[in-house]
Amino acid sequence: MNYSIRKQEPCADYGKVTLEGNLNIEDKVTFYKNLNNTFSDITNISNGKIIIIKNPDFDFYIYDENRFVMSKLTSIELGNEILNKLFI
Amino acid sequence: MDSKKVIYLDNAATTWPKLKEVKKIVNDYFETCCTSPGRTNGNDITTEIRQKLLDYFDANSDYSVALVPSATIGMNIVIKSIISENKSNHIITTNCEHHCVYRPLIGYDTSYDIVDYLNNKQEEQPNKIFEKINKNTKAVIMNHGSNVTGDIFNVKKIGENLRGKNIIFVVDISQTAGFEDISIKNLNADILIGSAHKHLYGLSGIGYIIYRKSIKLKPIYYGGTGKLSSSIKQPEVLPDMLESGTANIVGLLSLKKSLEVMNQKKRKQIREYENNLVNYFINNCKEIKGVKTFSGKEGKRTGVISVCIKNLDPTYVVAPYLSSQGNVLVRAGLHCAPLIHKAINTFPEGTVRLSVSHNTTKEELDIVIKLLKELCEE
Repeated sequence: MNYSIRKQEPCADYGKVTLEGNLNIEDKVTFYKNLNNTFSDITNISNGKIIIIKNPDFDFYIYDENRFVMSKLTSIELGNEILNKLFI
Repeated sequence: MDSKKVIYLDNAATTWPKLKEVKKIVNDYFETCCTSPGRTNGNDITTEIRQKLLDYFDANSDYSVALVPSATIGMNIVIKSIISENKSNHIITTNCEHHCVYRPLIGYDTSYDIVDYLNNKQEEQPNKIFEKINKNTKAVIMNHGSNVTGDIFNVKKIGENLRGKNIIFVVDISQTAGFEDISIKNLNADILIGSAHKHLYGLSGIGYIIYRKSIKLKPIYYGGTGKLSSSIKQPEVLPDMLESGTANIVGLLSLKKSLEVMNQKKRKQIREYENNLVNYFINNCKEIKGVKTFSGKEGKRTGVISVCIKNLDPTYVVAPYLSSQGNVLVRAGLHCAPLIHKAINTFPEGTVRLSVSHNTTKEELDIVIKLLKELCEE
């Protein structure tokens, strides 16, 4: 499993940062296991069409199990840290 | 983009599809010889379009027209002109405006007041503006129609009150031109600013300023005007001095055709049709727990509706879901109008904005309603 970031920009409406990128999830079982072990507030819409993870330091959205947006991030480093934990 | 049929509900940003008559005149342009307006000898269509705009908005010979690349550029020209003689000149506007007003006000370091307008009873709204008038007030700038809620504001009363006060009344008609029957005389406006590509169904890249000739507008960009070329100084002739550079000929042709097609009868048909669609959508949304809609009152609104779903982000959840599941194109977020979102308590996430046109069908709205229901059931 891995990820790539294709855009990072200031979060226009929140004074924070947004990361956008693609995901390569080879093993869905492990991916969902990691997700459930890492986060408590997870909403899954239409069987993985959109996964929403809410956290005080960021909002994390995964689309079609192949791309993501992390918004309201307090720092890019935090975003990388979470992505590394989940996907590497 | 999925190859299945697109449901286009972002007509407040730009209408689509355009009029078939617009498509034809643009296609014809590529097949026939055409001139550079104001440069090549021959028929100059800019004169014809200026007159059409004056007629369309019921402006008499006290008014003239400047053709500019967009309504935003038109607003920049007007604001810069108002403050150019005295930096302390004061401008009043409302919390229902677009960034095309706020950002020039701040960018040009203007003295201004932003009035909390929307959250007042309709009869009290104009007074909120009048209360802010001081001896330096030179202009009141406001929207005719909101690009977030679709409210059409009663600007006529404001214009009436400002008459004789030496305060310029500027009305942004971007959302209402081609939809409402607009008379600059009835609105008591000194300046109207709009664009071709929204409810006039023309192309983007063309805006217009219809202004009282007694107002001395000034350019914000300089260059060739096609006239008075002996001097290297910008000619001080209106409207030419505001229109430097080769005109957008294709855009101008589209505007010309739009003004011919979007006549009073057509506007009435479209208003009635869109009003029915808005009613249909709002009434169906009332049945969905968790959905909140924002729109103007019947008879005082355009085809714009803002939608919120409790606990679901409009930009990152609702709009992507509509797009991926139904090929529905909307605009989510703050719509370049953050202050009206504060007024309706949807800041900072904003809303999903759906804006219908005469091409929208009830069947298309049914798909949106179904998808919203699905999201609310999750």
